[in-house]
Amino acid sequence: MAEAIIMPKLGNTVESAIILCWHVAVGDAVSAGDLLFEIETDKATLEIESTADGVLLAQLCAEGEEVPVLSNIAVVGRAGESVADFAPSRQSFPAINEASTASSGAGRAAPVDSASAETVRISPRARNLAQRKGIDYQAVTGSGPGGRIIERDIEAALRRGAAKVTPVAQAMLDSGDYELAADHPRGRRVSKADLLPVADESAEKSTPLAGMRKTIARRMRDSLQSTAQLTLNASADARALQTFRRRLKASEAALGLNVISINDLLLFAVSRTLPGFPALNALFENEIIYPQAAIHLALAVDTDRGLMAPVIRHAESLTLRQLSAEARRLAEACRAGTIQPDELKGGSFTVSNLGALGIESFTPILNPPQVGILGVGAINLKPVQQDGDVAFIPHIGLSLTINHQVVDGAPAARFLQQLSANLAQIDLLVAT
Amino acid sequence: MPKSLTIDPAEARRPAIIRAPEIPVNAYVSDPAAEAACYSRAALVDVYRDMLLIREFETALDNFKKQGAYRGIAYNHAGPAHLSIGQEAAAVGQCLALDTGDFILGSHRSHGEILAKGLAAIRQLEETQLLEIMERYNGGAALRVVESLDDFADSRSLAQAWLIYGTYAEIFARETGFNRGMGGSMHTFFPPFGIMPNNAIVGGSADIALGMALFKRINRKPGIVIANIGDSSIASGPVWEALNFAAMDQYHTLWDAELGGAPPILFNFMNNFYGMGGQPQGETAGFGMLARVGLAVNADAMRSERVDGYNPLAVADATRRKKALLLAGQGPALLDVVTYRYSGHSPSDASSYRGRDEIEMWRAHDSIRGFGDYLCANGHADSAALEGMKTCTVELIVRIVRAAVDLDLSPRLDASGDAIGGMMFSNERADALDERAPETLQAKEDSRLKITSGKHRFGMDEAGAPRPKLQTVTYAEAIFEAMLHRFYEDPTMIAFGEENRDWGGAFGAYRGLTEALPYHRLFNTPISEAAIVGVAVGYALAGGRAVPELMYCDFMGRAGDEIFNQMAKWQAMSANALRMPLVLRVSVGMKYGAQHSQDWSSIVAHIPGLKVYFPATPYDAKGMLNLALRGTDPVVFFESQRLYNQPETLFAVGVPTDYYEIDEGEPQLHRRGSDITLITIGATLYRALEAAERLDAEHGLSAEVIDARFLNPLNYAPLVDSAKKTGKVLLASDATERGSFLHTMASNISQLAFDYLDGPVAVLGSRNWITPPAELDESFFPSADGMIDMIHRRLLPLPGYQPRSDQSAASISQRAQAGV
Repeated sequence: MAEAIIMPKLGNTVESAIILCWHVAVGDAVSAGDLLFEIETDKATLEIESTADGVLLAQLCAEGEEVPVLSNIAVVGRAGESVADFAPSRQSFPAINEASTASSGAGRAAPVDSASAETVRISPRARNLAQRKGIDYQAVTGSGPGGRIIERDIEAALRRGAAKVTPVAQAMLDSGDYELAADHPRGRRVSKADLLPVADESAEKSTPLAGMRKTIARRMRDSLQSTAQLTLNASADARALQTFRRRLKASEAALGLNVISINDLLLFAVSRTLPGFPALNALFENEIIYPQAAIHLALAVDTDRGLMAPVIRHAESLTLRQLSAEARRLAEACRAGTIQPDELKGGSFTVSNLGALGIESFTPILNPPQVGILGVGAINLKPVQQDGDVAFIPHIGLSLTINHQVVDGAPAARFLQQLSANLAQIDLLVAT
Repeated sequence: MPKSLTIDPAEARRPAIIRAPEIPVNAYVSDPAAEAACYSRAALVDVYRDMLLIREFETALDNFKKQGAYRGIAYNHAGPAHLSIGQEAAAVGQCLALDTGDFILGSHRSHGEILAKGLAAIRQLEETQLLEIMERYNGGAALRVVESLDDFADSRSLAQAWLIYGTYAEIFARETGFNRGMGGSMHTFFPPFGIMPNNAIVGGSADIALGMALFKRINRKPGIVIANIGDSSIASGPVWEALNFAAMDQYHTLWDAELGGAPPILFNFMNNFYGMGGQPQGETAGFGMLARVGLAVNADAMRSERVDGYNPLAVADATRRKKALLLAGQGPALLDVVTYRYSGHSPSDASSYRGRDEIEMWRAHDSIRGFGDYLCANGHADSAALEGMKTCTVELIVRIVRAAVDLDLSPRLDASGDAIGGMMFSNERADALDERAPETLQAKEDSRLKITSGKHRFGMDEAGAPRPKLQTVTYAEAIFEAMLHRFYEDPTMIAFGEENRDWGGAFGAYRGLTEALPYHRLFNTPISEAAIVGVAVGYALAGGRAVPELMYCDFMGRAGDEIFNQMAKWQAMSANALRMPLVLRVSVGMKYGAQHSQDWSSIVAHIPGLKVYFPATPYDAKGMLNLALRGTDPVVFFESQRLYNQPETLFAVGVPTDYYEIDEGEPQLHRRGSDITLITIGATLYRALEAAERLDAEHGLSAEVIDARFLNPLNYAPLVDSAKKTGKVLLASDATERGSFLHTMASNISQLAFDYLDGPVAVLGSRNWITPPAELDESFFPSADGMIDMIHRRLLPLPGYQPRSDQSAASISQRAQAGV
């Protein structure tokens, strides 16, 4: 029984391939696995092997011909067998001038539903879902009208665990943030490497900049264009911070100290450290440096409308409790939208804390004309060599960005060093 | 039928004979001395010059069409040219009697009338006015071109050249034309000179002109309105409707006498004895002389006369006498102006319907030569002067036509972008179209508003139980409140239709308006759907707000031309020089069988230039009518008779007493869901909500239900968002399925959400049958059952469900093949 050799489907997006050359002539004997011909797709050149044993009875396509996938290419069988049944039938419509109306009953050929034989009927929505979740929908039974595979069939398959997916890839797919690459060969096991981040649909929608966002956009760009920013990273022993914070939290409510946060302690430490580093508490504008006597601490606050930086005036003269109260008041005013424009001006140094969001270190962007901004990261355990052993000690991340035009690296590093020291003994600093 | 007019059987049954007035035929007798006294010598010479100019204007077009060149200027004019060579005296004579405040409306053969009216206006207006008009119109585009041609001696000769240029440029589809080329030969017009739209639909100007005359009467504006229509148009229904509408008794019996009587309209038939080729006199009509038709219309026989249109002074005399009658409220008037066109109907006319000798006989009577002889015989001019005028006219036309065909001087509109799209609607908002106080019969707070505002505004009480319908504001009362509001804001607003007054409209939506408004703001019309809409078109084009009503949607067919060609088109055909503040209220019937129960919203949605609204709840009815009544665009406003007596049950706010508007084009979400989206138009909404309830209760499916509310304009974004969410969409409306607007929506949603769809968007309309008797409604209109059946067969097979109707995909092709 003669057998057709077909143009294999070499991926989801491959619709056809070009026959490059034949390696076996008609009449030659072939065995399954023998190289029969080479093809070229838009992506690669591939060698196609015979899937049958016998004699090559016919080459149905010439070299250089573009052939749709799944079409018959060659016939292998016993010598002398007819190949008439294998002629490629790629033309799905009658020729234009062929009269199709003369329907003398029997003479009218039944339309061939070419889809039913090989193509699975599936809705675009179900196909997309299957693609994203790595389901081989060829194997899924459709429950839609006429047996069409619809969304619920893929969902059912998912529940059955139909996809051959590694546990890590499955977790990534389940997160909704990843999807399978469109050209992933159907049925092949899906691993992490096969996944791509989901294109953010919201990115397709556009929102013209307006109001505050426009201001932020301009200031951020100006900042990076007009200054030479250098970020130094360090971390400080956070044990004292944590201990002291626990004590404050446990203190009697009447004292008004139980609301003081780690960030408040940070602000306090900065306000007490900065006076020793006048180079960092300065403004630089039009090639002139203006050292600032007072510490006007700007505090980065995240709001629904965007980033705001209200200013705690004369932070150096405030007690810890006053500083905490003022920081809280300003942050709340920003979030409520009641902040006064004057309260957003005049900072001499900025503190931005992303620690609560788990950020370990980052590169804060300067708020010109200020020349320094301190980014505060999360508290993480850090191995520290101690007495010949390694101890895991909580450390808080510190990232200082300076305007390298006017502040050198060394004084900046010394500031970080001093700040780290002050943080390590924050309780004593408060007592001074 | 007002109670004040009693039909007395004794009177109705009394024997009598109708005696009719006599109709004068060509009664004018020329008296050169009297004419010299009446008109100045210069005016008489101008008549001759104007006729010459019109003939040369038309001759140039004739040459372009037939020979591709005029006096050495080659040009291929692609558009139509229906010329009036031979009819000049009728046009020029008429304008001798008119002022700029008088309006003329024309036909497809009106170049001559436009020029005659324009030339007359140029003589009547102050030079400063002329300059301002030319400077302002279309940004002075035409003026810039004309100024570059020559140093004109004075503003009037500049304006004459400008008039000729603006008309040619319009005919040649140039952006510098009067209507930026959007009107063209058959629709050229220029409102500042009282030249109102010409109409390419035969007789189309009759009811529109009447609407303008009504505007003048109701809003106390000066001047008369003339419908210049052809003799063949007398056979068309809308013209007859306009004649009758213009002659209604109520102007005298019921309207305030102080308004001044009947609308000042002259139906002026330019009787050139032919349609295209058909010949009313002797062939396609039986009246012998068209003037006889006046006898059919009223006791005054419309003051009908036949006039010799080959003598401009006879036409001027008749027009002047009719104008005086019309201004005195004694219209309408009819003139049968005898004239003749030497030119064919159009360039393709081989004159197979008339003999060469007939044309030659008329040429022997030629009005221009005849009037030239008259001028010479009475010492107003000599033959040398006449020859000089001819030379000057040709020179003028040559100079202007050269500029008008020049694509650099006179470019075409760049239509590759959306320039024409931008003209389709004016999209303006106007609380009132005039500043005077609206005329009413009672204070607004004393009107029926007192009753409706005291009712419950929401159909259910706090416990969710239905409130009595009579104690709750209904859909019909929501319509009433919106109408009342705008009647008390906009003094120009009028409403009319069959049974609108006294009865309050067939479905009572206007109950209470009869007591609130004088007759001229709310009146009953004859059963003349074409004229109802056509009159509204004219009223709106003249600057007023009109709200005509069609009692049943099925009667739209009777007003087809007025809705499809007139109401929809004039804003864009005027390049936005005109506004169309017209809201056509159309009631979609039920339970009244095949000719009273059809939803034809899809048909109007197909026509460019119309806005189409279809509210399904009282809240939307008031908010959407408020929106429509403050706009300046034509809106076809569909209402459903299934809903008139329904209170608001979907919007928890009920029907607000205060004024509010719905955002135009925004669909309304009525039920949130995640598995399937049902989108409806009109009263089908409630069946979709029922289906959604059952899908939830019986099949555990969560259906989203959205009312489109608007067919055009329509914001697809919320529909597409919902389609993307659920992946399954069913559209339903009471319109029959084939060609339904739902298919447009389905196609658009499919294209915008294809990758998200779990099946093809399904469309459920009424069956492609006649609407059967009410008892068989279920088999015809979409029902909740039908919706669930279609969901089951087309989108999401429901386990264990037994459909009641065949909604399979296979039924689509079977029914299509059978044509049902």
